[in-house]
Amino acid sequence: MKKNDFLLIIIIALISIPLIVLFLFNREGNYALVKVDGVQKRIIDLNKDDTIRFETEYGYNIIEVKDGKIGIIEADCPNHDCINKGFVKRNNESIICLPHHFEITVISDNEEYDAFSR
Amino acid sequence: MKAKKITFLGLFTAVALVVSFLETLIPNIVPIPGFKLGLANFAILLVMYLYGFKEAVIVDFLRIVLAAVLFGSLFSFFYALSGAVLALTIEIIIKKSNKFSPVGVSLFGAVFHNLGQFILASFILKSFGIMYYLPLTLLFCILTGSINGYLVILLKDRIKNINKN
Ligand SMILES: [Zn+2]
Repeated sequence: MKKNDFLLIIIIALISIPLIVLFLFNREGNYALVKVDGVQKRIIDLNKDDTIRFETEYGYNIIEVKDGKIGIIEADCPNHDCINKGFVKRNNESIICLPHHFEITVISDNEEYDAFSR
Repeated sequence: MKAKKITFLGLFTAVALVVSFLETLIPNIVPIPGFKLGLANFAILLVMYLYGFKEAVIVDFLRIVLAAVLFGSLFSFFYALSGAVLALTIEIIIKKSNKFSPVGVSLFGAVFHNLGQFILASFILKSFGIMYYLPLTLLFCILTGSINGYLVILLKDRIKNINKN
């Protein structure tokens, strides 16, 4: 190994570790934003247990909200990675169903939604 | 000599394919379908160091096509491809610079491989939300990049000796 290799490792660590530590302080979110093709479809209250079906031109995803967490429990995508991801609850965490261009992101409150949509 | 080279390239393709398969069994740290850390890259780098850039590109492309057909999907194919194009490009540039050992070349490859996948996913989703997972992925790159690079250092001279006989 050369000196530059170690330097590179240190640089990557200096970029990533502070952000990871910062994200560890992310609190549990109260809402989740559902986007398809980057367009907001719905904002979901994580404090109300619910099951919601989303149907788009790409297919369907069924979302479940339970105990403040959100996850996809059923979908007709080919690989079901979105279901395997399980449930999320912290701010900025997301669940993605790429074949359906479908994204769920946890946010702290729905003011963010207003800021986005303006 | 030519038959020997083809045999070795076939062997490296097989090794890379097996590692790619094993990687599909590891749960993703990133919630992106088809997303892979790129542990098969040591086989591609070995080809690059033992034979050259052209050979590495061919073996990597074969690996990606075979992986998609055998245990992947159209999505995993485009993921692997977007990662591989960026990774191979940067690896060739960094290797030519002679400023890094295989570990550095491999680290650059790992970082750009993952950047390629994040960019493709952001493009499809028309959203940068998944960038939240980028720091964690970069940290993993240190691990995978170092392991791959170290394997190349360990193996390349031994395989060179086998080839001489
Ligand atoms: Zn899905």
